[in-house]
Amino acid sequence: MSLAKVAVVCGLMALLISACGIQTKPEAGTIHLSHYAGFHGRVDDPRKPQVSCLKGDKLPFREYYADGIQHLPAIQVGARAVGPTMIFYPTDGIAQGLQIMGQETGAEVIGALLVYPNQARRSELTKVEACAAIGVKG
Amino acid sequence: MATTASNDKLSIPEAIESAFIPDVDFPLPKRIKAMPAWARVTLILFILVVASLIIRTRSVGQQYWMDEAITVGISSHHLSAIPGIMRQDGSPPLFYLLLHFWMLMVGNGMAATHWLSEIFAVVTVPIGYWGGLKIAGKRAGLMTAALMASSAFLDYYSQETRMYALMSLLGLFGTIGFVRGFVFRERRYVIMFSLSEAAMLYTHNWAIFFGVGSALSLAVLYRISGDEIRQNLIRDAIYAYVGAAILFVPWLPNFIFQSLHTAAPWNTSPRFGAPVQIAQSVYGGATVAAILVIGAAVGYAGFFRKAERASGKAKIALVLFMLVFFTLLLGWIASQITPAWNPRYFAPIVPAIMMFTAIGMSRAGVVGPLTLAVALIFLARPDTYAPQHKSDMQDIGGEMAPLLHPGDLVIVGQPEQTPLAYYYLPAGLRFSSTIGPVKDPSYVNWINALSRYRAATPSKVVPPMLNELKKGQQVLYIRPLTEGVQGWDAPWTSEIRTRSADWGRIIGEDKQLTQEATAPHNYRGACCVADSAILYVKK
Repeated sequence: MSLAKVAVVCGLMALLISACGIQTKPEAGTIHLSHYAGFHGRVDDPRKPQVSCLKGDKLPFREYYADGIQHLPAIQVGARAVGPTMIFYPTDGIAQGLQIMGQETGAEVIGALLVYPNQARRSELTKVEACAAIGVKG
Repeated sequence: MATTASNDKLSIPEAIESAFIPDVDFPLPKRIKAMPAWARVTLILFILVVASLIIRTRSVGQQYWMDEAITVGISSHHLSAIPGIMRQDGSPPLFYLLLHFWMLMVGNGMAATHWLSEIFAVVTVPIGYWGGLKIAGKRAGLMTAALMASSAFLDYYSQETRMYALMSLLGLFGTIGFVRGFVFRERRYVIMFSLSEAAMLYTHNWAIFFGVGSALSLAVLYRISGDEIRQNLIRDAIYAYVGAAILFVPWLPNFIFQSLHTAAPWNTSPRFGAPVQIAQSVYGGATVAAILVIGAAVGYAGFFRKAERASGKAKIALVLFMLVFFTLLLGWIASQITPAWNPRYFAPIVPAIMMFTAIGMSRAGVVGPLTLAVALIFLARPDTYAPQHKSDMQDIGGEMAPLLHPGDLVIVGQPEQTPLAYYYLPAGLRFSSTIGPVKDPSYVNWINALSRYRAATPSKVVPPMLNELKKGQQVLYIRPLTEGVQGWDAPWTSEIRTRSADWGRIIGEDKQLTQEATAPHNYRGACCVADSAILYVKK
């Protein structure tokens, strides 16, 4: 291969490779930040395993964020105030602390979740509790 | 095995090689036995490389912790700017420069940069085989390769964008060069040792302890050896060390500046826990360490007999042991004066430890392969050594970024976490640490950091910063979770713990600000340091 061909091949290779290089960061305020390759932040949604579990059990549910400044991830199974509610706290300790300090008396603590049974049927609640327990150690 | 009479006519390498442990005739399937020896070895090495990749890529896309973000931040600068920035950091530049070119090709994503360390770690497997082969024969070579492939230390640091996997690879070359060069007396390996030492000096400052430790080992070797080894040993040693020093001269002014101005105030002086730290971080736990040490001890038992004590094999074992011992001793002594002790700094001696262990096991008859097999069962667990969660800044970035606007202020309680926050947050934000405003948040200025930190009184620094904010502008305060005790008792970290609380109080009590949001909402723990974040808006 001639030197010129080698140079052309090397040039094309360099172009190809450099296309994979560092992507520019999107500016704050840009919508859909997570769609940009240069943005590395990622929300670690704790509900993922529970969502697929509930889907597997064919239970009707909706994901939402509990009101207030804490904006806690939550899942409502079935109708509100009837079906069980799962609220996801950042750590097991917070969930335990809420019960210990008497702030959440109507909920079961399962890992970092508070599960409110509400008016759920036993069979439905059993499935929800099993889903809530995914990834919980001990 | 060669007789003593025939050994007299052999060169030193030939004499030592003639005493290598012969291969064991394992009951292998006929098809494998029919393969040529080179193909069998290649197959084994291929299996080891694939197995190590399976184990070591489980967390390759894992989020960064602060040291990695600093490394990526520095390496993201223009090539000509990197050495200047390194003066403020305290590390030598080689890994940062390599990472710079690597990122130009594959990007600065987490998996992309972890792969650079991954490659260095994988290369230690065939090089480990070659080294073991050259120093103690094929059996020792295969055992060294197996230990390098399953090393808990490399499991961890092959998935970390830091220089430790590279340092281990260079340490491997250095160890092979040292033993072949000075025990086997082959000059081309002396050159390899010298080049490796120079490259290590450009990679991590523990290369100094490795270099001085090797010189001390050499002095002992000279003392216990006969003329066949002593001949020209001092001359070769001078060439090796002076050669490495000459190669290091271009960086020397920066090194002196760093030594005078950038200490490691986050470290504490070590006590006598080095054996425990080696067992945990290098071998992968007390059980594995005990198994491997027993296997090696059985192999080395023969060296306590008078007849074997002066043999070339015994000298190899002693040199490897001394290399580890003196490096650790020097690191330990130096850290009593200025803290520079952390198990991750053991990187240059990991190969010598593995090689010493493998050579011992290769001499232990059936006990060697047996102990290795049992140890591998413990080691081949992908979730055991790889960090599952290094930090939670990625999540904080993911949660907070959509709420932020250009010009908003980000205040980071722990200054060295600023590059981490910068990496995970969008562009267009202003940054400050608890020292004061940060011009370039992609790296940390460690020059006289502790005194500058102590001088930055929160009650004087914070209010002007908040007063400058316009109505509607936001301030994101990120501070470390300091629930543990061990990491927070060094001079630097204890200041950070207190200061973060001080800043938190001042910002929280400011009447101009209203709390808007907090993060993270899902805290899975962190191997290193985690953070919490509160977003405020100015009324």
